[in-house]
Parts: sequence; structure tokens; C-alpha cells
Amino acid sequence: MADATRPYVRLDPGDNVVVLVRHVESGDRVAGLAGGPWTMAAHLEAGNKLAAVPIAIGERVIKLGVPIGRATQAIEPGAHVHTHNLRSDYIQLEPTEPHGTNAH
Amino acid sequence: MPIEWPAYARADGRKGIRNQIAVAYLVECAHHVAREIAAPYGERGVQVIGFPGCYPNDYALRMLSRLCTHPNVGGVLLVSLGCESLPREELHARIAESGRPVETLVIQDRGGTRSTVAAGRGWVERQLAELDEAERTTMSINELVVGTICGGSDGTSGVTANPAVGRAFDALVADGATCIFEETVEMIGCEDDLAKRAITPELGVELRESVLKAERYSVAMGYPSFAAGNATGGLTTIEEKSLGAYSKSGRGPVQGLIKPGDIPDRSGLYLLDVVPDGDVRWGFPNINDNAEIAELISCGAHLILFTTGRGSVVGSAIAPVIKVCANPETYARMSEDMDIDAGRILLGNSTLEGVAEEICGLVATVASGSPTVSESLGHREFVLGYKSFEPIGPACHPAPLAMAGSG
Repeated sequence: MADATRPYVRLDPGDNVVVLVRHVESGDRVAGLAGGPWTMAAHLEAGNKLAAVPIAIGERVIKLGVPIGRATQAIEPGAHVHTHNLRSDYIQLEPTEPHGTNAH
Repeated sequence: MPIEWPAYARADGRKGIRNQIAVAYLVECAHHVAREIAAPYGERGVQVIGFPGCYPNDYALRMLSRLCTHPNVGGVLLVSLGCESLPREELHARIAESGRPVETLVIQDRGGTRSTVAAGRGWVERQLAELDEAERTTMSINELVVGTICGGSDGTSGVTANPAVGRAFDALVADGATCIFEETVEMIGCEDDLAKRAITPELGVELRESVLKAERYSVAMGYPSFAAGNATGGLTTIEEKSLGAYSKSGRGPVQGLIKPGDIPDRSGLYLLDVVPDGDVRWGFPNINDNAEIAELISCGAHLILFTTGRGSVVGSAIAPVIKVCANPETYARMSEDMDIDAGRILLGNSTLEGVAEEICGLVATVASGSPTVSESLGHREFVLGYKSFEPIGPACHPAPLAMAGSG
């Protein structure tokens, strides 16, 4: 479960990503799952994903125990996992400029 | 949950949890007049619905027929410009057949805006007095129909609010309720699991086909159901969003596949297919959340469970909307617009089971007449556009064994 030093949850033991339970700011250092701290590279809102373990290019990203797409590049533990490094196995989305309105 | 609560008896045997007057405009040209008629009576349950189009559309007629004869509606005023294509006499007749008071005002015959508004308000005031005389009855959980939708989803939706609603659906169905989920566009990637939950193999084929239809439609339109706010909230791929959205359906067996305006004839869990049949002709399957909410209500849903991560504020005409907030930071900012704080799960302050229990309790409270926060704030959104559907086939609604052979 999330705590003050680890503001994220691993939803399933088999997941290779964790989900933020509160927002983080660029430069924030949070405790890693194992090993050293993770430094946040950007402002991220709750609900965003971080790599829990090293993820190789082409490897499936697993959340809630099921695949949600494949890594398009190698991802270090603690790094943000999102549209820049994760692609759908189904429909390729239009490049999206996140802004926070009109979400369906 | 309480065994029974007070309700309104309707001639078709269904029961209402609200007793409202609907003022329905039959083309956009009559919208302002309808709004003016209803404006003074918003707090007394008078609501505006309608169809903006001037060209004929069977789907729109069916939707308006179902909504005007919904068990939460006690009387209907139709407002026509006069030259639109929607067959107002047919709609009027269907409402009259349901035993509800109904009146049609034709603006061109009444001499324009002012005289029609005056006539409409007079009719509404007389009906409001009579609504109090409506026959009361008691209603139990096995007569309740609950729909669910998610809107403004983010990376927390599929972790807290959606699976909590899924557990609430499992509990409501176990108690005999009818529960309806939809958003096949957001089940892309879940079709195998969905098909396995069908009560017959033939229904499983239909369920899978409905998701594949949604995928084809999304590809043709160039946009799956995915908005910029979803990405800001941490959702990356359609299958990730699907995974979260699909969890609203719980884990129970799926009894049938229905389309807008189909009313399930027995309790259980149903998938509502909202993607039009045939070629891509009508644009996006649903232009916003309220278009889907209206379709759930057209299938008889008495109330709606609406999950949101980014923070939606909407309610709906006809049926109360209970908003379940997935994201604890959104809840902190927008608590006045939320009925339930499911984000507590992420912070370790509650569990999916705890929130599901809270949802079931609130369903009973709202069914008993307590307003939801969106009702209290006056939210009565409504939207209806053009679509077309083929009727569902027999495989979509398998007969229960006891009824086999009865047709």
C-alpha cells in the first residue's frame, strides 16, 4: 500500500508498473520498490504509471495482471510509462496532447 | 439493503422512483419554448428532453417513446414547431396508451412563442397538482433497474470506482436487480472474457461481435473512446482504459445483449450495445456521456452509477445519477459534486468491498427518494442524436429455461 515515501501502489504482484496515488512534481525523490530512490522527471497526476522493474523494448507492460500494450523503448525502474514509451496492441491512438479537459 | 421502499405505480406494471413531468421538444426549433415552459418548475421535477433533428429517425422516435413512458415520468408535454418530421401524433398516442397524461402543443398553431409558453405552463401547473394524486405502491430490489457508465476516466478509475461498482453490480444482481453496462468501445481487448460470461454460447458470439463492431467503428472514425484528459490522468492505451471500464460489469453471468430502447424482461446483468448498426453514417457513436446515459434510461434504468476520475459534474433528466469518484485528489477538489469517495481505497482508508457496500446502500436511499448531489445542484442534462439499429436477434436474449417454448 502507498505511504508517505512510496506514493504509489502495485496493483498486482505480477505487474511491472506501479500507479501513483497522488501527484508528484519534477525533481521529487520517492522511495523505489527496491534499491535506490526514484527521481521524478516531470509533474505527474495521480493515476500515472511508473516502471516497477526494468522493462525491455518490446516487452509487454502488465497492469492489474493483464497486458496493456508493449514498451517501445527500454524503461528504467521509476521512469514514467506513458504514450512516449508504451503502445497499444490494438488501436494506435492519435498523438494526444494531454490537457485535462473533455476526458470521456 | 431495505426490502421495500415507496414508489409510484405505472399502468405497465413497472414502478417509478421519481414522479416527474417531461417537457419534450420535437425539433430544436421548439427547444426554447420547451425550456421556457419548464423553467419555473425545475425544483418541482419538471424536466426538458427532446430531439433536435428535423429529419425523420426511427431511433429518435423510439428513444423519445421509451423516455416519455419511463417509470420515473408521470406526465408528458410535447412541444412541436409544427413542420418537423418527427411523427408527433404517433408519439402522443404511445404516451396516452401508457396511461400517462399527455398534451401536444404545436407552436405554429398556437400563434407563436408567448402564447405556447403560456398554454404550456398552464398545463404543467394543472398536472403538478394532479401528480400528488399519483398511485403509490412499494417497490423492491428485484424491480429496480440500474445502469452504469464512466466518464472523465483516469488511471485511478479502473483501480477504485469501476471495480467497486462491479462488486456493487454483483451484489445488486444477487439481490434480484437488473443491471446494465455498456461502452463496448471501451471493451476492446476484453471480448474473450466477456464472451465467456454469456449464459449461452450463441449469446457469447453476439457479445464478442458487438465489441468487434465497436472496434471497426472506432477505427473508421479515427478516434477510439479516448480523450486528452484520459492521457493526462495516466491512461496510455485503449486496452488499459478498457480493462478499467470493463470492471464496472462485475464478474457475474451476462443474461443478454440489448440495444437502446430494449427493456429487459427479467432480472440479471445485461450489456447495452450503443454502437449503431450498418455503415458509419452518424458520426461518433456517442458524442458525450449524457448520450449514453439517456440510452441506459431508455432501457428502463431507474438510476445511474457514474464513475469518474477526472471529475464529471453531470446528472441527467429522468433518472438520478450517483457519482462515484475514483481519484482522491479529484474528490478533495470537487467533493460537492460527488456522492461517493472511492479514492479512499487508494489511500488505504477503505476497500473495494467497503465502497461497494456504500454504493448499494446509496442506491436504496436514492431509490427511496433522497436526491443525489447532481439532482440537488439542478443537473438535468439531456442529449439525443441520430442513430440506426437493427433489432436484436433471438440469440441476444436467451429465454430462461422455464420459459423455453413459450415464444
